[in-house]
Amino acid sequence: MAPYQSNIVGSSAIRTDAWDKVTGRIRYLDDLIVPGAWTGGTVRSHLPRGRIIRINRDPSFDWSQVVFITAADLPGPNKTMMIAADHPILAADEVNYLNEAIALIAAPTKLLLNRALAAVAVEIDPLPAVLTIADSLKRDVTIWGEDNILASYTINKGNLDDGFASADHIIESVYRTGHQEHLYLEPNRCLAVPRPGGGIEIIGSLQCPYYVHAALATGLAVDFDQVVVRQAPTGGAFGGKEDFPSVLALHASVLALAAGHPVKIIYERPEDICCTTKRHPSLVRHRTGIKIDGTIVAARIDVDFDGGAYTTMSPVVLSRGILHAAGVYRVPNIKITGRAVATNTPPNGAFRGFGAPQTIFAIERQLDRLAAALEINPLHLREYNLLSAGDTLPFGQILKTEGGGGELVLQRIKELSCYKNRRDEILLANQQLIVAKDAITPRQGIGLSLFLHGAGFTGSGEEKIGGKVEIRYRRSPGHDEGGYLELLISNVEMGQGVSTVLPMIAAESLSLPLSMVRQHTPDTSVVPDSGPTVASRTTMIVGRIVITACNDLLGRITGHLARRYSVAPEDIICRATCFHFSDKKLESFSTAADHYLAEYGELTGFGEYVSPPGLSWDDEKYEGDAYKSYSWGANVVELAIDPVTFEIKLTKTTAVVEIGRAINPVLAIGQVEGGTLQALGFGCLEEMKLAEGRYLNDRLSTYLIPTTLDTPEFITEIAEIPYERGPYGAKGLGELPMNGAGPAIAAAVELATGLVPTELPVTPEKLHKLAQLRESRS
Amino acid sequence: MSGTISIAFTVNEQQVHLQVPPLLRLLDILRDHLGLTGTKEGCGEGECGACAVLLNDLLVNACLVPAIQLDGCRVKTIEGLGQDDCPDPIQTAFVEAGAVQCGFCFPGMVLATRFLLDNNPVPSRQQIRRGLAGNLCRCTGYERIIQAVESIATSATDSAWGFSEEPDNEVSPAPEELSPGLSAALGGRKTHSHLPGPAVKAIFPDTLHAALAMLANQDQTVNVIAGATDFLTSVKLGTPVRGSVLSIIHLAELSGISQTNGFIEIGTCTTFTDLLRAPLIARYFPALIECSAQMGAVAIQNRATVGGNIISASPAADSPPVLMALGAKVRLVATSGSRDIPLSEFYTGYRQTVKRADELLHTVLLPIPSPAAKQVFYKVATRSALAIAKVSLAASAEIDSAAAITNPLLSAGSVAAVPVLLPKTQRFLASGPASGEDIAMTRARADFAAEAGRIAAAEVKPIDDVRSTARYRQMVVGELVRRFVQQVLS
Repeated sequence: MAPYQSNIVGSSAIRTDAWDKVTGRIRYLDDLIVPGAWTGGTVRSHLPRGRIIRINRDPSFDWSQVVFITAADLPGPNKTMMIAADHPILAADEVNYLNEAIALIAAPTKLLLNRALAAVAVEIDPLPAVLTIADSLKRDVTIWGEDNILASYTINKGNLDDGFASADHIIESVYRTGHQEHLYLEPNRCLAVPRPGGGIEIIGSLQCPYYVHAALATGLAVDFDQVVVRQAPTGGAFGGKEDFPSVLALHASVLALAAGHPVKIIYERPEDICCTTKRHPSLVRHRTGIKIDGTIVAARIDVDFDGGAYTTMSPVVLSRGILHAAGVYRVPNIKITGRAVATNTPPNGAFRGFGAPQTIFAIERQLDRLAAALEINPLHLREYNLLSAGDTLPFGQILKTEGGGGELVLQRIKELSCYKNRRDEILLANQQLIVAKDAITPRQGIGLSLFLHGAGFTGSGEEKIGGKVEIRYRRSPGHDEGGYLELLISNVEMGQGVSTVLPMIAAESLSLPLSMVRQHTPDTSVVPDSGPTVASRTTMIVGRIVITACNDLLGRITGHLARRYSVAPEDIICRATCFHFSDKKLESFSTAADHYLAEYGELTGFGEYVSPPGLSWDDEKYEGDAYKSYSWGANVVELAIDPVTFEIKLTKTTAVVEIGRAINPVLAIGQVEGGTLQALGFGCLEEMKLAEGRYLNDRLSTYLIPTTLDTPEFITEIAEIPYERGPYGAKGLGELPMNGAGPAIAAAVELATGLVPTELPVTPEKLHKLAQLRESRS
Repeated sequence: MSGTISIAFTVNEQQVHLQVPPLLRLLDILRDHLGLTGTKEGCGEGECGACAVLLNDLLVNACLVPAIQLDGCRVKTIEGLGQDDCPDPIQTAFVEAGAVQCGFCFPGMVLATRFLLDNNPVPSRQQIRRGLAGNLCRCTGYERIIQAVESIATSATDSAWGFSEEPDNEVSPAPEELSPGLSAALGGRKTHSHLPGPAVKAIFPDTLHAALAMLANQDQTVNVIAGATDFLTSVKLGTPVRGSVLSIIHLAELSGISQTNGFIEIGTCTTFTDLLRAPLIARYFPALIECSAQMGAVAIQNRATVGGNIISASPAADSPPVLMALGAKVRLVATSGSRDIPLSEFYTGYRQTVKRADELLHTVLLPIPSPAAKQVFYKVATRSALAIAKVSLAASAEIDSAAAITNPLLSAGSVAAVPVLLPKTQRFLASGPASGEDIAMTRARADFAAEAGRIAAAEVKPIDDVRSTARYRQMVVGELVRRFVQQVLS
């Protein structure tokens, strides 16, 4: 393929929404003025599991002023359509997690709503609750299906017994990670407006308009055309607005239909933290066989995720988790098993990384254990076993050209971070402090991680979705200047930059300035279903469909021009906003488009997802090409840690990613830095404690994310190996940066303290415990 | 209207008159009454900064300012800062640097930056980090934001955007009178929304005397508020407000720092920002400066008062351990007279103090330390800003001519139901190690410090909670004491 000459793609164009945001002018959902809107609220369970005896309403309250809804009052089936339909809209007979929704109230004012909520008491007969992965697997109490298992998968490659038999060392370890809260700055919220002719319109802070659309049609038992879902500007999501908005939209809709008024449900922070999804806690067991020369010959990896009370996204989160469980390493003989188990805790769901940060933490830590056993530099061990083009992944996928990404990021991170020299310096400096019996000076640490992330849906997900894109030419009313192009997709701007990046791709392929392309508000009554805004798929998958739609639109105009100028359509090209025949300028884009519009009434291009040839996935066998492509990353984390109190200060983080091509480098770097900081928070700050199924860290003063003062200096680099099937070479990026910082922190702490963290987050309290264990052993 | 108060203040240089419940938050006034929805709510308890605005040129969290304290004030919100045609240079810098992602935190981030640059036109990277530490962003990793601020901080020296080196004009700009068009100018009111604060009676005394008279004559609960940062947080969390609310933040008698008879006197309404800016505090009480700088973040320091931090009687409050370790007394006043009591005797139990309902905490009195005195403040918390201490330790001591420790005072926070002194450790320290300079003495000093740490660790009885564990806290107290002793002796 000839190198592409572009002026938009690869430029750091200013975000289309930047000014609206820095001036505070943009209206998020709760900023909208909705005449006559009522406020909705939720009556929730105070126990993690039990049978609902009755719902008592205080007779002294005038219930005629409000709308009160229980499971019995629902207009349709009591289920929220996700992967499985086990999640009721409202708990009917029993509750399965603390804070599960039992009843809904809408009132004309918030004051009245609060009074009504206070006038309800639910009597629940407690049932024994299952609160941890271990309890769930014991099966003393069955809370889901026959065995508490929400989903399970197995991957097999080679011969495990032979592999272990050929190993010189066999290393076993167990790794754990905890819940992580998304902590988007704008909590979940939704507005439901009854439509005059029947049906419902939803305006929400959400990622997946068509998920909500399907959930409403099912839950309200109405036709699809009775439901409209529109996205409001969304103040962060990170997966936290992938599945949960379906629940919230159903709640708001049911109330709005019953009240005959628009109903807004605005979660305040504690309710948002208590009731919405989190990252799945994990328990990963590794058993690895390695030869004395450093060759990994066999691995058995068993992954358990805590899914919470209902299925939500757990099967696909688990699937992505185990497909990433071997990390970026070649393992000839491997068996990976995965189970998502049910517990009586709030359902866990999608969160940036989607199962991969948990399993990559485990494999990266395991690599460090192996390096320690062989007494070699962890970098060398990684380099030696690193995947490259032509290697086969555990599930049978053969890496093609993008397999070189691992080598590239490793090469770049070595140079940028000076890992080897810094590690030697730090080891020496720490040794000197130990010799001097210095118990005050912070010890330094440095840790390295390598990782990958599959872009787009797992397996045949993209084929099932079959994303569609439309682009249409419009005249600005009252403007003499030419018209503009409107990009119709269901992918949402939630901060990541889609409303800039996809118009950039369209502008590039139409040879027009970016200012001529705008993204239409995602609205299911207008935009086609280009799929959900998840899985690092928007740029790579939807971006490619955008090009198809643009080509379709260009084809219509060139066909028209060809007839007018009596030339062959394939000889007409659009370049620098004009259509040319040979070197002769025919018409400007606007003139040609206006002519077309005048003649045909509309000018629209359509694009539909086309499955890339040569890739296949077998759902039955659970093998094949799990992802269309992989992006690669490397992190080096440096930190200082108090030798006694174990307070951690992150000092410097180097991040290199290989993402095919950065459509907008500044936005791409913003994704890397933001994702890396979330991962650093996951690594050493963000701890969600539970007691009896209740999240204890349910406020911003107890669930702590990094502030500017907790953030290290960043060195960030984007490396590019253009991916031939991506738009202008681009691959997925959004989730990748979440995968590597956790294990790099743990490795850095290990180097600094000699303690071996096997659990995220790495906290001073856990390190102190490890230190005491070490002392008691010595 | 019953249960409401009349307030007049300016928002973005336009005069506003409102009749609102006294505890209605500035955030709700801006969003629901004035339609200024650029100011966002991310938490409602001063932890995220999404609602940051300027109040009389100080950065504050609008969720922690009650209506009762707004009369006569000047408020500036994002809507008053700049728009596309005449943006604030900060906005231009954020746009050009690609600093914005989801945008929800940005109005607050822009105002925090405005406050930072107004007070420090050319901040260092660390000062930028400190200035923005109260504004959480979950999208960006902060790096583009910090770089954007650096870009204008650097150009500020060239007066490229007309930054004035002059201090702010003392005279507030003449406000325009309320006009019928104001609502439109402000972006349209949300007429449907009624979010009254709790229905309470509001009291605004003109003088301290009047305040005390009201306290003396009340037969119901009077909630005295100053910076209101703790009070409005507890209201937000559902603590019912009973009785009436008396605001004292405006009483001039209760603010300020002065030196008299061997004491530094700090008025109860002195904010932590006031402390950070006070030469007398910097001169005599570096530990208190350290503590103030670590408290919350800028918007909290601008509002939270010394008196409030003491009175709220939180076991995790930042300043009481420092004040105790500096030998503070507190002066309680009532119409019946005043009394000075040591801060170490002020707390009687969890969130309980000896203060009577008719008394006000008037002044904190800190004895001026001898030049030989050493003082420290250590705070161990989960993160570097906006954090409640897992453990804090403050200590002061002098070294006499025989190189022995005299007048040791050690106080710890978050290790008991109230901030506590460590009397056993103090007694041990006062027993002192023998003096000398040889190597054996160095070892003896190290052993002495370690022993002091062990005594301190055994002396505190912390608990497991959402922030930390008892075992870790005990260890940390011991280690911090050891470090202090080692430092004092060396």
